Amino acid sequence: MSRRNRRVEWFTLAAVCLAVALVPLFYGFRGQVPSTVLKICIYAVMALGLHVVVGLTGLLDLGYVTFMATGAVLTVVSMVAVADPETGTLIIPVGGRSLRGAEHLFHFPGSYLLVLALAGLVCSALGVLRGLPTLHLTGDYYAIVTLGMAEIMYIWYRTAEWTGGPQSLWLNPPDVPTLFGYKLYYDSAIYYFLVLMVFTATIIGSIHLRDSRVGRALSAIRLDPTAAMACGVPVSRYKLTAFAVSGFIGGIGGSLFALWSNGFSAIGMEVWESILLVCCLVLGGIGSVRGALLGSVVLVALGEILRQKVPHYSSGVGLVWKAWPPEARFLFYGLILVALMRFRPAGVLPDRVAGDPFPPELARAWSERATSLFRLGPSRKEASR
Amino acid sequence: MEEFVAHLLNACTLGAIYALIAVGYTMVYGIIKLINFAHGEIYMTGAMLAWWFVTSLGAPLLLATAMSMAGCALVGALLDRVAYRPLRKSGRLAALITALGMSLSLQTLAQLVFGARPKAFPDESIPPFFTSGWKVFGTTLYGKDVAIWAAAAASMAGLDLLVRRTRTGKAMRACSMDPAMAALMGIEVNRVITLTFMIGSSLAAVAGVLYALKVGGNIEPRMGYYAGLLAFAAAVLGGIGNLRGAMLGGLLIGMTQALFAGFVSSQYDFAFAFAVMILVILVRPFGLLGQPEAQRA
Amino acid sequence: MTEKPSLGPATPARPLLRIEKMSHDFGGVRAVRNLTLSIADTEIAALIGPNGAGKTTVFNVVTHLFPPTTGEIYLRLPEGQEALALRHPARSLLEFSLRLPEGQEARITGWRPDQICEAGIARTFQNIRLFRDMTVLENVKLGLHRHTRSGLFSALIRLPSMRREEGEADVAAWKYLSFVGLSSRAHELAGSLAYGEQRRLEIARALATQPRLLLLDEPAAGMNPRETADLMALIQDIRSRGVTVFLIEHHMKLVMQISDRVFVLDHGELIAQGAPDSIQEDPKVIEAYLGG
Repeated sequence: MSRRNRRVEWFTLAAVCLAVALVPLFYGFRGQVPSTVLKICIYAVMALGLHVVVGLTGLLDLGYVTFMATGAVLTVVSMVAVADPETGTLIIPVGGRSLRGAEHLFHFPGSYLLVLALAGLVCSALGVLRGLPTLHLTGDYYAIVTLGMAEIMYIWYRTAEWTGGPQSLWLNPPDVPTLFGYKLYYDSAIYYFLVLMVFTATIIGSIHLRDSRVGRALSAIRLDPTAAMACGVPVSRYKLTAFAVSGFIGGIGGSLFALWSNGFSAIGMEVWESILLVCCLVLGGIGSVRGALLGSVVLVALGEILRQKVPHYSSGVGLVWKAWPPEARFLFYGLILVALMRFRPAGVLPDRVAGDPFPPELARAWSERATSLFRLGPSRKEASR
Repeated sequence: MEEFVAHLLNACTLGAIYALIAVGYTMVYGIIKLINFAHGEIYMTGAMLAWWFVTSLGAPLLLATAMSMAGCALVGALLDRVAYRPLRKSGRLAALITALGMSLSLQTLAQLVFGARPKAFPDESIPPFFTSGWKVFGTTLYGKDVAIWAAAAASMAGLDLLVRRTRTGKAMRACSMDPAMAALMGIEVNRVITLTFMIGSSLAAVAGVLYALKVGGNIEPRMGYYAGLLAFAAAVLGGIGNLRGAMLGGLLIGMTQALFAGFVSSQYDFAFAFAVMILVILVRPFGLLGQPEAQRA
Repeated sequence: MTEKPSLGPATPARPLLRIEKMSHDFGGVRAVRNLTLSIADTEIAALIGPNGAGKTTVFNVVTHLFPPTTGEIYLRLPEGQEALALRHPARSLLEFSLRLPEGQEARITGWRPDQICEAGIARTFQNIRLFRDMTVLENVKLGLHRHTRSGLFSALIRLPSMRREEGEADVAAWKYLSFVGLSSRAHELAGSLAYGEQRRLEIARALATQPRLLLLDEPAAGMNPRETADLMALIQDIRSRGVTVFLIEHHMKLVMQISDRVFVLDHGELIAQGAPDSIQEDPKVIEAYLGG
């Protein structure tokens, strides 16, 4: 990407972050708009996490929801876990029941940051674990295996006792974690800015990663794994790195999502959520950071709009205003996927823009240093490494 | 002993149904190398349409099934024409994403049109033979199981004959080996592909109706998703692209799942089936009857 | 004609690469049979033979795109320098190193392709395998992968050390591009280059890994006479900088003019080796090419 385009890109992304930061000035922290903005930000974080595997490394991961669910359930469970006042054992109050006189186990200053890091690290490990047996898979088989693994995890979360099973685990007001002495309610200022910070950091990290040696190696694996190996890129290790990074971001996103939705419900973490994230990437253009953002904005907003009352045609009555059923959004997601692949497979905002002349200062540097720096054939320095 | 026989009978029935779906998967994959994710949705559509024909038009079950087969064949052909054919030249992932999108759309569409509530064929529409039973090894063998086996066996024998003995079948095999070469030989590849979609879809419709009869209802928009995924597993297990392999794989996957549900845990039977699928892809991606591809750089 | 000792002065005293009794099967078809050959330091060696003789398979096995069915491959480690770390030959992700005495041969059979690259063997491909959607410069920077180190964390927060390294890599990549005469195209997409330029870019990428042995798979294929002449000069220039070249080529004029030693492969078997002159007169070689 040329320098001018890169500058434009930074400017756009800074503007997006600033816009998110300014929303509360007009709408406050409570209500439909800030809540939707937060959801968009969280989904954008997760879409960027998925982008590391799908966009950079070129593996279609259909099971990303596993990280989201794991991050969310870890957060909620650790926040609601209390000690039984009589026996002192760990209890996870399922179905909203609360225990009188029970003490929260994991509430201490800074505990949420710890939980956030933990959610990231556990998902990172999960990503590596999931990646180890699938290192040799590519294309559709990789997609199906990740989908199958996500289904297994989903079935487990839906039936296991500690996740609340088919019931929801709610974050009641006493359970909500605290940060710097403030409660992280889903409509609190501190939560809003926490999400904004994570959002900004993820964007910056994604761009840095793409433009780095690691990102280049991952792209090489996507474009031609054999040639990448012949260039000395240890393909397996880089793939595992990508899985770890991707899982980490997914876990963080899931944790934030748990606070946003004020609890965890395994039923809400179906595989279709990961298809939605894939759809975000496809819409904006697979491999594009700005595209991932655009995709999250459009699709999440679409989902929220469909929850509103829209005109419906009803036979005999004519136009009536009522909300679509919540599943209707998936009809649109599906059609968007089909239409994009057909008409614009590179997405709306594809990333790569080629070509401006070699920066002059570098050419000067070359004439001065090139002769000494690297020479053909192995040098003492390289051989000793 | 009685329990084992009962589970075994169930397992065979489930296996036969999976085999019917898997055949469609494997035929499409064999020719255009696409995991037709929406195939499970066609199976669901088959059951839905048959139910609709029975309840709204009052058609007898057999006629409704035939109509639903025709309807699904149409849906399958449309699916190929609208969604997949424009992508023949693009990558396999683009086609897979399209298949996912179609699957999602069809499923949601069915939900919007028919509602999410599970439906069942009305009792009076089910022939008495289906509910009659005989004592076998201390357990009851129901007519519906026998009917399902017979229907599945007949369809697959017919398909096998079609592919092995007829001109059309020869064209299909040629296309699956090398579409470009087949086209040079004067075979209309796109027509063969459409035909493949139609045959696979109508078999999936049969499977949908049979499943609904077996479990006495449960016709709902989500029924196709898991069934489709497991049928894909069956196709892989048998060696994807291999017709007899898909039949064998379907039987094996269905039996594994049903026996696991019967003896170990009915909560985790799907999880177990998925684990089998993953294991197969990881360990023997070319399947039981398939050949490993020779390594080439 | 009498039997010439065409399998004559076979083994150089201290070979750089030594292939010992190597065979490779493709599902029952024996592509390479019991091949033994050695390449001396800083020579230009050529591997020729009719189509389907198994030449590319030899390269693919040496760079471990697939393992040999039987046989071993040895590479001499740099002399007078601290020895390369010897990698555990397993596919395992854990790498542990052993120190070898100077100038000793390492058994590289079973090393991963990237480890073989690190040991000092680089290659080009018969059907050019560039990263077509990357720029020319980025392609060469990938060749420099093993000689740069910045990892994930320095990338994510963009440490100054990482920026400096990127700058140095740019400079070095630029140098390799000038060497093959492509520096003016540095920011174009690799896929947009002309065929001959793509071949040269692939050579630049391979050189950027700073190999001691460069495997070129049909470098002159599809080139016009002028480009071929340029290529010959380029290969000789590469050798003069201390890089051993082992090439597969059908272009006989090129082979006979620049190579020091020629190996002839037919039906997977080595039927002749020696200086270009002796090869040209070898009856077995003539029969292989004419008699099929």
